[in-house]
Amino acid sequence: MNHFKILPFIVLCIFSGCDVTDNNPANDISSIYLFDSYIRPENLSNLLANKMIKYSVPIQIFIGDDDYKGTIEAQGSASRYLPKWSFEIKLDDGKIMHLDNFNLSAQVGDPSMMRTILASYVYREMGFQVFDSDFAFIKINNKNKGLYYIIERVEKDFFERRGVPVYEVIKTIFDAKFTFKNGTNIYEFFEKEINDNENLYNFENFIHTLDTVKQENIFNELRKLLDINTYLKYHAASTIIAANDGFRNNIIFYKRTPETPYEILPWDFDGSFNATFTEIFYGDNEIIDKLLLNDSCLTLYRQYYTYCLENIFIESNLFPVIDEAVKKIRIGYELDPYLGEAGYSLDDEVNKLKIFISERRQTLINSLDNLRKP
Amino acid sequence: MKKSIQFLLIIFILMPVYELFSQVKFTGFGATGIQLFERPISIGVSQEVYFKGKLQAEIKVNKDIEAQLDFRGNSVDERVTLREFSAKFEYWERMKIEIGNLKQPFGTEQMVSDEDLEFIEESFINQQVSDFGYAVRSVSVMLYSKYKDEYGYFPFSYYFSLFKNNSLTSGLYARLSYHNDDFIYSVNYSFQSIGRDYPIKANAFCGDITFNPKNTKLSLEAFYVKNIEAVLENVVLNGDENIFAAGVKLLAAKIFDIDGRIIKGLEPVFLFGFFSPDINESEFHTLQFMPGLNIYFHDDVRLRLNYNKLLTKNRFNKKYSSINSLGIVELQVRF
Repeated sequence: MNHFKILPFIVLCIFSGCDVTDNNPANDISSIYLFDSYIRPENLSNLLANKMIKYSVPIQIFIGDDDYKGTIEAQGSASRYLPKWSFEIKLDDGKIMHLDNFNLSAQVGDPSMMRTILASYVYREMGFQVFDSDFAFIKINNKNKGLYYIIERVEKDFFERRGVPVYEVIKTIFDAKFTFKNGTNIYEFFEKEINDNENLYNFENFIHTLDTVKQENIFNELRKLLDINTYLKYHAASTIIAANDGFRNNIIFYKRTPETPYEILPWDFDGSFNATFTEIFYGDNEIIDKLLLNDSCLTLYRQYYTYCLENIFIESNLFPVIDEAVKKIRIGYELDPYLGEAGYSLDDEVNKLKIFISERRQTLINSLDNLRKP
Repeated sequence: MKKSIQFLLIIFILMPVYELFSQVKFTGFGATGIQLFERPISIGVSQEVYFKGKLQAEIKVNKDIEAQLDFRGNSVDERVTLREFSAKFEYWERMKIEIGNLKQPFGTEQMVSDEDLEFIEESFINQQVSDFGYAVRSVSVMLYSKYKDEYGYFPFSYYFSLFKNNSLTSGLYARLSYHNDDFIYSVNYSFQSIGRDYPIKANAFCGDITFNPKNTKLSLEAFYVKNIEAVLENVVLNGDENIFAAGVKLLAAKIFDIDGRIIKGLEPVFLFGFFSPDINESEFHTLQFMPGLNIYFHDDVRLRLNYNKLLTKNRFNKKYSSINSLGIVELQVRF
């Protein structure tokens, strides 16, 4: 009977000295989206075992009083090799931030978490269509997974929401070569997102023309295949904001109709505002090399570059964007296991970023008179 | 619509299998129940009804080769998934070879089918160890031998598995059990190598003593595993890579034969668990108390009542919080 003496202790342990309240400060986050998510344990272990492939599992997401069901899968290319995952979410019903399919981007290249919001600002001011984004803090099965960006995906819906017709969308994959020289197989570097087939005929035609067009015909011949103004504007802005991945990795080309030239959508900004990027006038790729052989293109490039530098890439524009975002994300940043919890300081990262912006701007202004052909 | 298509697909897959091989055995289970959560209303309702099922086809290709397909579905996920395909080669009695998406031999709960566990849900320790990547399914090659009474001269079971997954992880599992009458003593080891940009190596150990005569089970199990989740969070800034989690688990279950007209048996069950995600900060831990009762209407038909009390202390909860505790009532039919 002595064994039964332990029973009151067990009962006491089970029913007393505790409450349901979870004091995780993440639960109090209200300045950004808080995704309180649940994935069944067996599904979670399957998801964790399938980071490198397209493998989705069901997820329930609770945001405030709303409950969403959908699927989650790992997302990204080179970022999949890093510890903090990015995800793609597809909702069965309902929308979060007007989206039923979006990425949760970990921004693995950006410990300040500011680059996307800054680059979005610059590209928008330069007249580009930019994906919508906002901050979110993610919890999965009661564990803090960190601070993320909700990123609108560039798919058919993206164009519909903006009332822009779309015929074709081509995404660069990684370290793209815009040439057939040296036996380049462009299928290694580009993939067609719309329409969803393997045919890169139009894009091949563009690259072939880029390779073969004579200097004096650049403006007349290439403009049928590439919106040269838009491209030069994009390249100038990307160079100024030191978008390391903006010249060979994260460019999206789209055609509105079969007859119209390719236009540009900037994409994936966590490599921008990158202190390791030291080019002053032109990020490197074969498109800019060819275009700037033409004097008219060079003049246009100089105009866009100067406009961006003198009117957009200035501290009085960018710093308030940073300061406002810092207020929103501070708690989420500190609770992020890969950022604040791992030892990063938001204030330090933001200060570094501000210093970089000021120094880069000064360097570019000082060099402006030397902007000439590559 | 989606579910209907999936079920049809399964039938289309299984019908030719059934035609082709004469010896196909179907096993599985169906279950339905209600979960009563202790959680803030902000993360879901306090009660959820559910149903779930498993359909497994075991295909005897010839006397030495078997294959298995295992499909699962449940009302929460609203989809059916193929959980396992495996092929088993039984050329040698004491060294069977199995290849496929196999449950990896790490801990006692991994050694039995889900539907045969004493509790409706896995223990908290098993779930955590699974989140770290140990007690999971992986595509693997496994050599094993399960002890039978006639192996009296060699009273061991062993499992050795080499695996690789799609998250840049590969490694091995080894499990050895010594059978001494109703006692089983087991030791377990796992090694994992995770690449590429931030490579880490991980070791995990567990062991158990199980007393398992007919209708009774008493098991004490201990785990000591590298907390891969925490290490990956630290590794980017060259933080501590030696974070180990530890836990112990005590399980007791006994079936009392009633042999009534309706109720054939009663099985009180109890599980106690302690788990600390970082043994250097053992003040942060989770206690699990899980009393339960299985009421048998038949060997394969049982009503299950579980109360899963989780008491968690962590950096944010200095007093025990019981968030995620729940009660479950479930009717299960195995076949």
